Amino acid sequence: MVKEQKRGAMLSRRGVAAGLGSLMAAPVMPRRAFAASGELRIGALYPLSGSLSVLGTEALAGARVAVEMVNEAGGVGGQKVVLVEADATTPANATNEARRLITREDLKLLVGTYGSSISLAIAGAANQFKIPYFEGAAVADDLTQRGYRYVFRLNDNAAAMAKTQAQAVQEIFAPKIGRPMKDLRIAIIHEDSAFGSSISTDFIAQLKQAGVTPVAEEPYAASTQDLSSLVLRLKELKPDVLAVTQYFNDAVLFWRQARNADYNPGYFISIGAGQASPDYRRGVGKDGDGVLLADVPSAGVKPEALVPEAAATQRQFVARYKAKMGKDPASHATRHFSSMSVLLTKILPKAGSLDPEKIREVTMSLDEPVGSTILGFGIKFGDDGQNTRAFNVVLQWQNGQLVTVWPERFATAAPIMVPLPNWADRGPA
Amino acid sequence: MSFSPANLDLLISGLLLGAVYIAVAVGLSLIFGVMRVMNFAHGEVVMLAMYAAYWAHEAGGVDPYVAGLAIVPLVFLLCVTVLRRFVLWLVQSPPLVQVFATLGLSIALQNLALVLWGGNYRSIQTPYSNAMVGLGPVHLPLTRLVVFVLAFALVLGLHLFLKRSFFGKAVRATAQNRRTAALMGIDVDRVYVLVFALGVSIASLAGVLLMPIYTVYPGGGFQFALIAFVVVVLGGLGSLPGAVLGGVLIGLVEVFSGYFIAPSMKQVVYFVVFIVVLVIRPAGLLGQRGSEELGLK
Repeated sequence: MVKEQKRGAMLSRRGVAAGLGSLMAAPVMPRRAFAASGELRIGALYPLSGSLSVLGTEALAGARVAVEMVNEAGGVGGQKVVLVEADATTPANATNEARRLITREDLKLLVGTYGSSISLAIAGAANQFKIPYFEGAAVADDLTQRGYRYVFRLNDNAAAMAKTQAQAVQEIFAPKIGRPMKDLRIAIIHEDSAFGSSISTDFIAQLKQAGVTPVAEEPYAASTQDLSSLVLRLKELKPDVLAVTQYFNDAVLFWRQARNADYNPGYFISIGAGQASPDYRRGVGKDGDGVLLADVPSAGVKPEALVPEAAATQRQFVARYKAKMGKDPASHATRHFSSMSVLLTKILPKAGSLDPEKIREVTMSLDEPVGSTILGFGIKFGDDGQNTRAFNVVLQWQNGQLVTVWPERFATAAPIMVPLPNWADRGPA
Repeated sequence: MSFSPANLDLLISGLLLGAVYIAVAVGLSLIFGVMRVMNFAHGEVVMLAMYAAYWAHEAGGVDPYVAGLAIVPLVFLLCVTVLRRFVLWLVQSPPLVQVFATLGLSIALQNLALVLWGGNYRSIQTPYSNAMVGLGPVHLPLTRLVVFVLAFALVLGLHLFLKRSFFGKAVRATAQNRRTAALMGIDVDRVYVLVFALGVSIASLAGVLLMPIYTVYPGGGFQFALIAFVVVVLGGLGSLPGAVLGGVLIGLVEVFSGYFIAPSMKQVVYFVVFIVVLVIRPAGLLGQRGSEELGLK
């Protein structure tokens, strides 16, 4: 009996202390509009069926890991984060699903997606209802140039990719062969959808700044069965540098046909699309060695390049993702994890509510140095909603592995095979 | 136009590409010529055969050409047994039903592949992937040369078979007039099933031969079938020599226009050629007028 009384007293004393503590803490904490319990529901739009589903599913899995980690640590302002998932396979379907999430599900915040045209559709719908939208992976520059006040992108865009593509010529190739950039003959080939065209346009703008006019720009349809005419044109033209933006199918076809026609590009710099996939390595075998691409460091940023907190997050993410999906996270999963993680840990707790103005205010106020997110990006959003401290690095296939070769802070290996050896001097694939 | 080394390279590239188109188009042409059925699922047969060769190589370590020795007869057997009823139903259905049945099948098979194997682009590496064969001044990729030789051998063999053999005569009789053929004692159902099986197995052979060259994905066969339709209609519906002529023509036009005009313009150029030919000769280059009603040449 006595014991029980004592315990009761202790409990109440502790209760009083806790109450006092929270009262004392209250004035210094931001205004709490999140209820102390309940759910914080966020709409998540990804292509989960159809031909984009492979990367769409991986991207969502990355975002889910971020949610899981935040929830285990107590959620956002005490609220458990719940993703309301929707399948967005085409632009039309994405618009419908975004509207449904906003009007029927009454959601005040959307995240997504993969595929630029889908992303533009969701952003359009969100803008109509003044709902904030955080894009995780789509790269179209357009997304943040339409004057949408509540659309934000933490990660890299086409302009960042093209900038790195140009830097890879200026910083790696030009010094190596001892010729200034402006003396180089640069040819561009790209698949002719919005993706390839926009990167090519950005790349030409970058070259212009360096005083270079490309000797050729050759678009083609990615669905083609034959690129021999393009290869033969390049063989005739003999550019010093070949800059390419290719999807997977045409990337493998081009490289195989280049070998067949004995076309030897001296320097080959591509974009993290076709050439970034493990399937590319399977498609071209050892012939892929030496191929360079501008991308986020999908092979994993070395922890020394990150601030300690981001390095710890990276470790946890990779372990959890691997346990769930049975493989290492590729670039899309990592982008989406990073974007979701910043949203849930750095933006929403400070905003204290889902008020769009409040979210924008906090997002704009973030100012963190390079190395503070797991992809190595810093955080400083421009007025248009694009993170200005997102960038690309240069990766290279070396002995069947994708390694980071530039810039030095992120490099895990030095670039090899610059300039590329002739096919005759290579072994069999 | 001088005959420079570049032109020779283009000519060869064009012919090799033409052979790829012929390999895919022959089965389509044969089935249409005899059965009057435009098989819109033709590309999916190519795609599934590519997957079969892919998995034989990846999971079983079997060379794709060797796998073809099993895949093609299996497809033939499947057609004459399991699909027999479907074939007979198809050939007796009104044209609109045929279109929707095969188009529906095409969509269903694409999505089946998507469910089974995902949207990944898959390709294989074989010891001879980069092998080149020297013929005088030119070097040809072995895998494409194989397609070229087999495609032409196949068309020639098929042509002789239809012209010379007894069964070939029965096939042509059935194509020309089904009712009369039946009155002459020809088992037209058997002809239809065998021709369908032959056309589909040729498509599967094409798929096997393309696997060492190309990448397979669920929508990949459809891309090939699109060009096969152009080739078949350009050459003349139901005409085998027409399919050969159409394939070579499209291959050459594609490569030469890609080189001399622009790679982005090559599809435009061959569709312009296609339209011009159809305006001048509505039945196609070697087709006969009303071939959609009349028989195989």
